[in-house]
Amino acid sequence: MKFKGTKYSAIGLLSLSLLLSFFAGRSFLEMRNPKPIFAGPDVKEVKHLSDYAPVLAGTPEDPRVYVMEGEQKGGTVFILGGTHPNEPAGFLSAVTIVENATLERGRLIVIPRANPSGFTHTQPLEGSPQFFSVKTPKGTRSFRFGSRRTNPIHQWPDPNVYVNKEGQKLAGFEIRNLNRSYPGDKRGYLTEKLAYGIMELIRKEKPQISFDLHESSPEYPVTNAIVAHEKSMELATMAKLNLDLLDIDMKLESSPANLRGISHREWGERTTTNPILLETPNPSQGRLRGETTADLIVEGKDKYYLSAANKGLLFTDYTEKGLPLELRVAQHLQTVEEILSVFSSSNPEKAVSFKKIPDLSKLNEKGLGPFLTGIN
Amino acid sequence: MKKSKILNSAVLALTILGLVFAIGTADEEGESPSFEQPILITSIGQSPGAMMAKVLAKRVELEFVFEPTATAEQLEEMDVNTVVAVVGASGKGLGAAGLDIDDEISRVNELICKANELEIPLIVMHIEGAQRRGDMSNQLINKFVPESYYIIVQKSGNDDGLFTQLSDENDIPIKQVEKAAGAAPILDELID
Ligand SMILES: [Zn+2]
Repeated sequence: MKFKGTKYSAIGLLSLSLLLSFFAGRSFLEMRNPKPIFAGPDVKEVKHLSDYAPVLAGTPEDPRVYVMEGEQKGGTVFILGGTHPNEPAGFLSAVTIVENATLERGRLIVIPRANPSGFTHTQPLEGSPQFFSVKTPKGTRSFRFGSRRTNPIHQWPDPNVYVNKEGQKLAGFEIRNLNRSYPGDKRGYLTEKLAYGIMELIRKEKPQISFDLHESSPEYPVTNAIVAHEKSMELATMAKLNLDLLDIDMKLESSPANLRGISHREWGERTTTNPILLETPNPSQGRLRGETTADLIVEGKDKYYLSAANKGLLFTDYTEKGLPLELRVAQHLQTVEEILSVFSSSNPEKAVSFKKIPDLSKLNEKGLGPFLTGIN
Repeated sequence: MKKSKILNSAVLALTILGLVFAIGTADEEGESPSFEQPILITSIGQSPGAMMAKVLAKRVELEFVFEPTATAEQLEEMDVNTVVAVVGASGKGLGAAGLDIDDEISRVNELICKANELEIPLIVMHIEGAQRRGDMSNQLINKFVPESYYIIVQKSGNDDGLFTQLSDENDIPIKQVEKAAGAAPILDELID
């Protein structure tokens, strides 16, 4: 049978493709709407990073800054989540703190979405889903799974080689990687401006400790790790020994002195803060994974990772139970809590301590859902 | 008659007990020299393990000097009676200290020679578990653990039995701990 095109079939096909483009476009643009984060009981002020670095005002890289305060005076601690929007436990740990934590002493400054532009797209060729969701007692809540880098729609084109402010030579696309752009540049590329903004916040707020919350592939040696600058290594070590007793195995890693542009190096070199970067294992980000589904992000179950684990190729324990997101968030939050408590007991006048935080025992008991209802 | 029999047995039992005890103590004394404070805590390979030892030494209030890159010349100037060296190679740690693996091996070699010359005994620890058992770490373990007078190892770092083997071959007492924190009471007990 032969189909002969007519005016009407042309109009039909054209309308069909317009319809398809409409739905595809709508779903694509949906990624640019940030999902809400709800200010919890101890959030005293919600600012923008441009309050510290006006150069960011009106750009796609002006993240919200949540300032939390306890009953009593103390020190200041900075928590950065979402540096890499494809590392959901880092982002969700910061969200969980903003929405739930209460403080006894001190101030906490939290940015859950460090690179907002990175949340507006997914990485090409990764097959990542646009969203994942967590079941809460109030229904399912969905979050964005983004990209490691700034959206090229916001910063383009990439050079062939990126030489950052510290002279470190990197692959061209790393010019859109926030965690290669420190100390940033007020007049540089957008991501460098963002890095500069974060440096400004640290310079102005003078936090005693600054956290950068990440995840990494289970097959990458630096996972289940506390990466510390020389000046924060003793603090990290004390916390690590306490975490051992809770059966949370966080290894210590030194911040490499000769790889420049990374948060734990540049924050430590240029400000008074003690930088700490945390890594939990994330199968939805690793190279060995199979199909990348929203379930993989949340449950962390993947048969290829299981077989790699059985061959001893992973740098983390891995069983058929997977690596659930709530376990990874618990690992982050317990580590933050442990570091703050070690710091506070040796610096009582600069103490920052939680009254309530969903830590390991609470998340083990209740799961993550009850802490993400968005209502406090 | 009956009474003296009981007495005899009691004396015999006590004698045996005493002998066993004496042999036991003599044995222990024969194996490990006495370790005294203050101690030098140093690293073999510049991993964060040395910092862990420092934190543990603080916990049990040992008097110590912390110098991860201590040299033979520095040891000569120091007033220490025991060297506690934590073995574990870290490329990043070496990089931060401006050393490569060959620099590190020759530094530790010279340090141990000097310690022997000054009759300062060496305790080697490995407390970062299986993850700190890569090729570079193994090279350092095989080279320097045999030089020690006492080995403390965290269990998962000895999964393949390397430390037990080095202890057997070189007749060095070894203590295995479940978790790194378990090394603290051992140091406390071991070092006067
Ligand atoms: Zn990351």
